[in-house]
Amino acid sequence: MSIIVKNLSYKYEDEEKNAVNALSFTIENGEWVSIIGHNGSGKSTLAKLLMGLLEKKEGEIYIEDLPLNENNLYEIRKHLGIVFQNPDNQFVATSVEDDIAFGLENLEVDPALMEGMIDSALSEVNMTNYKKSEPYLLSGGQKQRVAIAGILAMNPEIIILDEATSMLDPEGKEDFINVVKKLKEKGKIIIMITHDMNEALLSDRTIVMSNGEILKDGKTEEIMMDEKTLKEARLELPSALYVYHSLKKAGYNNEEVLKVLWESASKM
Amino acid sequence: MKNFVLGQYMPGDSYLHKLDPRLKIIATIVIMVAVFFLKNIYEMMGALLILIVILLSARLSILKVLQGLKPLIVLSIFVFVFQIFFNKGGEVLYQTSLSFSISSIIAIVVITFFYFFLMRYMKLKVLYFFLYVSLLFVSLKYLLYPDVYYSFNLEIYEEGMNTSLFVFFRLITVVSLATILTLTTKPTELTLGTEYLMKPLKIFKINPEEFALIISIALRYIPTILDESFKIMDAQASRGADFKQGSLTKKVGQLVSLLVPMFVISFERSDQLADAMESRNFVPGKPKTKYRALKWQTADTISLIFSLLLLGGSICLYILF
Repeated sequence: MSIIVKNLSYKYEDEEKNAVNALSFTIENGEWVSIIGHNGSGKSTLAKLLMGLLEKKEGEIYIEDLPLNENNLYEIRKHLGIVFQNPDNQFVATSVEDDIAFGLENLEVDPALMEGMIDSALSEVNMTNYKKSEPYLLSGGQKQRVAIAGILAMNPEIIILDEATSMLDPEGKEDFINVVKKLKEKGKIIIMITHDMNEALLSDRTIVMSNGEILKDGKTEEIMMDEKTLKEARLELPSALYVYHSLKKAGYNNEEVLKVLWESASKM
Repeated sequence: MKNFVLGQYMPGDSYLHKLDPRLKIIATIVIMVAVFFLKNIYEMMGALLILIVILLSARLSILKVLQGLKPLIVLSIFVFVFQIFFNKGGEVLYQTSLSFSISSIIAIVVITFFYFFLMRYMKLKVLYFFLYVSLLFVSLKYLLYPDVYYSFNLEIYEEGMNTSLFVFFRLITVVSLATILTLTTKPTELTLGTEYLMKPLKIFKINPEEFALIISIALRYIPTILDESFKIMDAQASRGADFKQGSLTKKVGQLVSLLVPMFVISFERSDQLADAMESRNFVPGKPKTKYRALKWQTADTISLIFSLLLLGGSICLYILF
């Protein structure tokens, strides 16, 4: 499974400038990619374009060699799943199991198989005990895990997380990230849209966006060392990395200490 | 939110809980129609008795069902008072003379002032209102000093009393039936039942699946939107707004300040929900499979016969008496 984006541009009707402008990149199987950028940099627009929720004006998107267009939208969405920022705005049904079943019903899955698929998706996100619960009564972190379960039941190869942790408390965030780590181990493509730099540190690769364009695309470690690009993208370094950079600038080169700082930044 | 009973589901495994939602919807409508065929207070008492039997079979607390009637208190009082004072048929059951004098007018003004002043501290507002009305009554009846300016007779007639009780109990019965339906049926089952029963509407090009989805989403978002409204009210209250006090004009103004953000938030919410649904491959009108299947059992047939018998009985009473 791969995603190929070629020269992708999109402009909202009431705006003068392109929200995303001439984006080109490829994401390969099993990659965890963070897309970071300031508010209004075009990250969420890109996510919606990848899901086919916005109709692209220019450029091409291929999901496993299948071009994204109106005719094969249904087929393409079988490979993709998205978790949005606000957990409250993603639930359709009045119970967790019925909400997970919603996607399966849309895919015309045999009803006899549904319960097993729901149970297995819930167990992957450690929410088996909440099968009969009302989504409204869950905590933010639990709601997001159920949202992931709703997607996992449909078994997509690509999972997009559109600022999915931004409304969660630290505990909810940690639980959610642990689930994402498990998905990565299973070989899913994870595209994490975020402006939380600590979260971005967990990914293999980072794409920095600013004003609808890609400022830099590279290994996360390289991106985090590039203070100039991050500054240009109006992003702040994680505090531990800030100390790391300051020590390096001051000529402090104790490899052991620098290593500890780098590791602690990715655990924050 | 916790006090909002109509539309809530109470988990349980009673006879009523286990019935097919289609039967429960049909039976509720059939019994409601039967109630409207009843003509006098004695028949209505019989209906109330049956309602209590249904309640007991559902193993629901009567208090919980009565809580569901809370939103109807004002309407019930209005209907009751209107009938009792303006329906003048049959024998006079109670008669008294009420008078306006300087002392009674002063008392009314003082009582009314304290009523509104103390309103915010009172928890049992209905009881407080009855106390207020009783004090007004006592003032008009006994405070005659120094001169009586105007007197009028308060008369309660047998027919007025009977009709007011009849209408009051009919309202209680009908709303309680709806409350029992929602308290014993999961929202998902209710939606599924509605969808099934609406299938004949396909000939009018109404898609029952989409309609059921609308109901499901509406039920799902009632608590979320209520929560949202409480948050907005708290935010407004922190800036000095008071939704409970003030004149009607002020209250309407405050309601607008609540409704505008509510609408904006709800539209944003619906936009995001539409995206979430679409990304899970929802295509309106496209065939879908069903996770839940409904199963009609013998108990459903028996219950249907029972509700039809009730309807038949009340039609007979209507024709014969």
